[in-house]
Amino acid sequence: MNKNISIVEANLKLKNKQVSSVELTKLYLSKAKEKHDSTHAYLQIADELALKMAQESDARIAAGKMLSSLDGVPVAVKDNMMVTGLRNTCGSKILSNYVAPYDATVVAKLKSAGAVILGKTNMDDAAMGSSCETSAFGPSKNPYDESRIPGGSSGGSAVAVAEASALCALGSDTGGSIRQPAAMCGIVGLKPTYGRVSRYGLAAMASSFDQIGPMTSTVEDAKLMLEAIEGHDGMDSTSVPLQSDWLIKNFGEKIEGMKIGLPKEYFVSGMDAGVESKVNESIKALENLGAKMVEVSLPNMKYALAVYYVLMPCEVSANLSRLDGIRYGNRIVGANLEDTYKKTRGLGFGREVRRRIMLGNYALSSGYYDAYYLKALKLRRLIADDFANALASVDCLLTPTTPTTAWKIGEKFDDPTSMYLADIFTVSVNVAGLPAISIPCGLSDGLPVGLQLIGRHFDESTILRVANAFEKR
Amino acid sequence: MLSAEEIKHLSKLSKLELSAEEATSFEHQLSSILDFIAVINEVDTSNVEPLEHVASLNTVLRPDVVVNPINPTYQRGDVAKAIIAGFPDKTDDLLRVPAVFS
Repeated sequence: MNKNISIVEANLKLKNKQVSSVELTKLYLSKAKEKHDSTHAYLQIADELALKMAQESDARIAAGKMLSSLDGVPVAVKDNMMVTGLRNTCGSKILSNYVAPYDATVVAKLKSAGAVILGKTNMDDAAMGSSCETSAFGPSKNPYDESRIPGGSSGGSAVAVAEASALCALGSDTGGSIRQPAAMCGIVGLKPTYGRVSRYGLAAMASSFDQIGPMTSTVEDAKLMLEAIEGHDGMDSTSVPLQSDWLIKNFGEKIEGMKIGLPKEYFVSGMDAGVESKVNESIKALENLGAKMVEVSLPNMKYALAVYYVLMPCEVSANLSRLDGIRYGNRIVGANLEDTYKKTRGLGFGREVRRRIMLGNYALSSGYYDAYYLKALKLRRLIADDFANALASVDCLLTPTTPTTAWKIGEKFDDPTSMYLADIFTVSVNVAGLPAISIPCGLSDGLPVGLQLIGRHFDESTILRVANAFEKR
Repeated sequence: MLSAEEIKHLSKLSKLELSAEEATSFEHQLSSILDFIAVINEVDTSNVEPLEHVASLNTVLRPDVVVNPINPTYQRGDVAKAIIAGFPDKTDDLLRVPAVFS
């Protein structure tokens, strides 16, 4: 696997004039183009924009006016976050020609930090999927084995960082869509606490679950990107003003004496033997660093996947009702207005998207609302309470990120429930709104395995610190 | 097991046109997903309050005045122009839509 360089290394080289942002950007752009027909990480490679931004960065660097540690650093952005003037397809036919009229807040922040935007990366159709196979524009492929899925829905971003066609990337995570592809592709993926990063300009999937986060080669890079994009945003009424003790601190500190909880419900049979063995090795490695493992229990965890697959489709069905071909997107004209809606949406959305919209409408419809939606909201509280109880006695929790390594393309494609099980370790985190990071912990039969650390609300400091100590062991 | 009638009703609620083959396969797939979800009925939640917002915010309000865009990378006029350029069908700067009333 081509080793990527980190933000930290790039920043040093740029400061010391060993490389220019234009040179760096050209390198990544050419790799992106070279791999376009094979691994297909990108839906749009924005040469002109990237080179213009790189030139501006070089001028700043020459004048000694670097904006941040991200100045001049080439970033890829998942295709559901608006970058003015670039297409924002969300991997969906219904938006195949939609051009973003404004920047997402995270994109505006990256621009203010001087980052260079390389282009938009591939994703599952409307962010629904765990394999990047449902993209209306063709799948992305795992750089470790191109006959396998890279994970999803932020598959393109994971591929780009893993194959070094982007230095770092942004992804979004609703039930695991940053962490799972990060695990499948052997990179770092962080889902911040719900409310830490603004969702303004992110196409909404499930509004009480979605968060944007960094996908990087190293833990320190994830920290730097998080610091660049986090913060309260008046344009997102679900974003939370950050208290000063929530800001990242103690990053490089040792982890001796820290307590790591192992939820016993996660370490059950059904997990791939190779994954289990790598995770057990990682546990030993953390113990060698002085951390203490503590068994904890999350008794309602077995309901997390079902709760997610009620609440998420409900929110999806509401959020996707705006995609009707009227004001934007592709309109397919029918015999009358109703017919126009049905054809536009029927043909514009892939199967998985339509399944989830219908599931959501079912669970919200009269006669079923209490049994499904309301019931799931109550279970949501129980699950959140389980985490709060477990995290009261330990610093963070440790689990595998996924039960298996990357599977073959097509293997689970039209078997929804089998696909859903891939998210079994990640969804509960979004249900509770907690921060979590997936870090690479080795290969099993040549395929990457991810380790997940889950923290308390707004305690990204702890999981970043532990992840960093593990990475640098 | 969802019936063909229920699938038809759902596709109408969802404003989605399905092919005959899809309607049949969705009957099976949605039914199996609902079976999978049914486990939530095992738990007694009679004394549990629903959790609607994980960040425990209450309704967040601001004064009803025009504010400058938070991000300085664009001007309001440009955004309006870009939105109009994205209209699926237009006459001058006006969006053309199918008639609501026939």
